[in-house]
Amino acid sequence: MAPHSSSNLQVAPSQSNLSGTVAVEQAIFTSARTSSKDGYQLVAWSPGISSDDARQLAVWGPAHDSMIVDDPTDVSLNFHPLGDHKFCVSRTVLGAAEYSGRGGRQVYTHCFVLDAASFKRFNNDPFRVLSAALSIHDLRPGATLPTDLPTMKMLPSGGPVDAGLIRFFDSPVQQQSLVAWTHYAMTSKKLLFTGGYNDRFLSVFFNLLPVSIRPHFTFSTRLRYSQRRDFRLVGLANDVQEQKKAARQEGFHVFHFDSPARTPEASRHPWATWLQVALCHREPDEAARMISEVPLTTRLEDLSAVGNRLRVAMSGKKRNKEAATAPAASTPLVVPEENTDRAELFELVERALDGDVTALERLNATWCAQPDQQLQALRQECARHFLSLAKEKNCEPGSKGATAVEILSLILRVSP
Amino acid sequence: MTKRVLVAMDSYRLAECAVPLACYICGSDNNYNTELCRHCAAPLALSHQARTQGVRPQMVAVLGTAAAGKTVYLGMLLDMLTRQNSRVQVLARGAFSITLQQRTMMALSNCRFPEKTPNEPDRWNWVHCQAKINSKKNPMELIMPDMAGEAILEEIDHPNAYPAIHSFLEKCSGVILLADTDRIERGGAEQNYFLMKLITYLSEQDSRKTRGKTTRPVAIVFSKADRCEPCFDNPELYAREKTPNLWQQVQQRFTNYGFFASGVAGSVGFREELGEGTSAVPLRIEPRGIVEPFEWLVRKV
Repeated sequence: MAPHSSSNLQVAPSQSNLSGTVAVEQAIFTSARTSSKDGYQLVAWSPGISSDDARQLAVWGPAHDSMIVDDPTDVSLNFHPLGDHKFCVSRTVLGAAEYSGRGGRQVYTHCFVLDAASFKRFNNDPFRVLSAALSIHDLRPGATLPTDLPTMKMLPSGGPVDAGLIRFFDSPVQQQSLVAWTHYAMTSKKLLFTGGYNDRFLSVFFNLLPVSIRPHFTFSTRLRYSQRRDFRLVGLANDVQEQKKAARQEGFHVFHFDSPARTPEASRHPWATWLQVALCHREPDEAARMISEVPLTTRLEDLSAVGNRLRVAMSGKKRNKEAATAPAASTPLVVPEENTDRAELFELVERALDGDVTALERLNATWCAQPDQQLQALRQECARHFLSLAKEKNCEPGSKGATAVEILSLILRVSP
Repeated sequence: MTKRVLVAMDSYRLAECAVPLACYICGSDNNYNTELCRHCAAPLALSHQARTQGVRPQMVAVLGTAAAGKTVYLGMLLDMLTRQNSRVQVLARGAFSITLQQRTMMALSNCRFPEKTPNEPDRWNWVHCQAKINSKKNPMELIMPDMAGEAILEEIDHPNAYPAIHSFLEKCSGVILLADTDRIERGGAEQNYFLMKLITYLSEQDSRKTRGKTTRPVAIVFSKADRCEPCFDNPELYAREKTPNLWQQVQQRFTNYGFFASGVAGSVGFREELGEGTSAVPLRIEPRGIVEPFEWLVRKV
């Protein structure tokens, strides 16, 4: 799919301003002596952090001796829900010496809190939130702790799946690890991972998940295990004691990155098998496009069926590569001409909303064509037209019309 | 040819595991062989031990702000009482009960204070012991956890944030409340407010009341009192003069209370290390007033 600039293509959803930025709340949890309390506490937070959020962050926050490795350069990344409708992405590092003079360094956690709608603007990918935050601020603790923080304005960018990240996983060993890991992540209630992993691996895993599935995979890396912090994926570095302690709890599978277990294809989760096919075909753009187009209504339990469908589709395309290029020419693109094509495009949008599959295909083929200045300008107009129509129709969730709305949203890059 | 073999049916052994085990602290059901309670993270060893003994253990809470000296006080108390003592003798139950004492004494013997207690309840040290007082015929079973100060304050501000603390304080028979004398002497009002909050919380939580006052015994201990000698001479007078609000609250809400002073490190120095900041160093170990509050409390329980 053609790359796009979010500032051009994001047609103002209700919660964003004209520049397309998203409001992200922030909070800092660390050890300090303040006017209200001594010890670990939320020392600063932005205005949008409610008292309930603050309470949950204070209870969740990693305190003294929570980092597995006692190294000031070590970084822990965490992602978890906050209440029913919010998400927290956080970054924990070791700071200065503990204020009370009892030895050890303070554990410093910078949290970013987004509501579900804002998180969706980041394609439900915690790593995009973190990279946006890191591009705005230096997240290391300073000499003095702030007492209040502003609400951050972040600009989400990029499509649902970044093909560049898939290219990064080029070696067969990495690919095999990713496939095995995906299988265990999908089939385990909780998964511990140990050994020489890095955060890039997790970011690729999220990148290769359908957008609607990503919030299910809460994770923590390089923090000591605590049953108080309920994560689905728990990274424990190479600390054997922590691994044993966590493994004593119920329902854990362990994945060793240094010696990943093989997963026989017959019993492998279909989404993992699809990823294997996608990685082996070495067509990252195509794989990214296919994952991007998975409807936003897809649930975790639907992932097996979706994985099977995508695998069959990609294998079929590979077999009929020459034949596949020919029909593309036969699909008539809507060729934009000076002020004459707009009505036809609007008609296509209307027909697509009514459930006309051929209209959907034609629209998709149009936007998937090479980027064109005129098309880019038309996209915004089409998107506005689509939004007004979608509001009028107000389709029931799960209906054919609702599915059409979601597919059109993907094609036109807008949120209905 | 077929060999006939008799195979013993061992499945009955699984029957015990099928029965849920109630957590002694919060009462939640758990799998029989789980290590920590899935709800409050208290060790289920306490429940196993309570089941095997005829006597139900009493609970004693040691409370205070972060860095008030809870770990040092409890560790030193256990170390002193597990040695030969003429008035009170303590016998640890379960190997896990010795960890706190071991950790504290090892740190002090290396000229440093024990590290801060983590906020996560699954990493707290719990002590289960048998206490014998000369004047009482039967020994008492006691459970005492070493909880993080921040977690205690969080629970008081937002009840049920820490289920272990909530359930423990609801059920505990007596409370040792540590007030950091060093911080009181430096003029900070934070200790005063914390203790007032705690007194209010404890009195409102307790249902055992006579004439509007709670009967649960509370020992208010001025820790690190070696930094203020007059505190040892008359702790109640010290409380009345330095923490009048606290003194007033205790008078009005409790029938069984006592003021005490204690100190573990006779002298403290400070060491500056590159990148590590300033850390306090206990120069000599000189425990004073450690056993008295505990002995008073055990007699009252």
